[in-house]
Amino acid sequence: LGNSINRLFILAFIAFPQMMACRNVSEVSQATAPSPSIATTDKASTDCVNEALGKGVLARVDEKQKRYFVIQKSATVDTLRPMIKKIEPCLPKDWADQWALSVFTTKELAGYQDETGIVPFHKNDRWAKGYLAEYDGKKKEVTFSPAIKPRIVSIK
Amino acid sequence: MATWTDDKITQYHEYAKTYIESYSQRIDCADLALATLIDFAGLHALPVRLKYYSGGWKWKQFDPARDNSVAFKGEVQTMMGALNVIDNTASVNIDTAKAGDLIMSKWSNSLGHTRIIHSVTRVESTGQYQVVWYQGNLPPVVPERKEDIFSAIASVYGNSPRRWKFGQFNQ
Repeated sequence: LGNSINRLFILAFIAFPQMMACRNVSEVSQATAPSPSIATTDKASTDCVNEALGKGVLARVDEKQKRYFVIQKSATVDTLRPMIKKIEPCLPKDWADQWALSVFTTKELAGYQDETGIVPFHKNDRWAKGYLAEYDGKKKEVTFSPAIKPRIVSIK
Repeated sequence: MATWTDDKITQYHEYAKTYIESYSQRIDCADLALATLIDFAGLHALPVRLKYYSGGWKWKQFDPARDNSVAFKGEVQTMMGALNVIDNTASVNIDTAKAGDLIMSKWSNSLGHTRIIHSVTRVESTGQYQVVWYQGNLPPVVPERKEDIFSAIASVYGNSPRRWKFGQFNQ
């Protein structure tokens, strides 16, 4: 029985790795948990965002914090405003006016500053320099260079 | 003007526990620690003096008789981060750490991380200390509850928790 259960667990982990990772991040509460890749229970919303933004732009979804991590070479009001407009129709119902968008230069940098996978990038402030912008869907504000020299712009 | 007495400091520790577990907005890690301190100070009309470096050491002061605590909080959150929190706190032993004390990390000369202690429990079987903390983050998050053995928490600045230098606030 033990072996069967183990096999079942392994199969479940292989079949639903993102779901497992998502639960680990939410419930095990390890500050150093590895960065999950795209993980969502609302696949339709993620598919919608992926389609709206194009391949390789959406790097990660944090459902708990209602946040999309996206990749851009640069971020300005002119590039972010249309991106936000494209995402809004895709938002899960309970994300409206609560969601956030974090813009990074590369996928490897797209994460929270205390995560194990991110900490090595603090050398020479590579992560901070690659964190281009943060959009707050409640305040309708963009903060540029949030980790270096924050500059807030309203985009209502 | 009221001053930070032992009784007020005890009240701060109690207040911090409730504050961090009920905070419901997205926030940066250092900002949560600063908000906890300044909102308590505002509530009890207590002074706050925080030092920062800008071409020499300078002070950012909250005088409850003269200043608005909400405005002061906003100013301080804009200009200070985790490394400033380190500058305004002192090391305490893990066996004396309380709610509202901080576990800091210094990632670089410009970036660090702040964790706010909720509780510390000695594990009798191992003699180690189990810590529950809450933290904001960057990108900002609604504070998240974390738990780990203290010695297993990575990159702890000075290998010990830290406490606000309450004595400097009265000066």
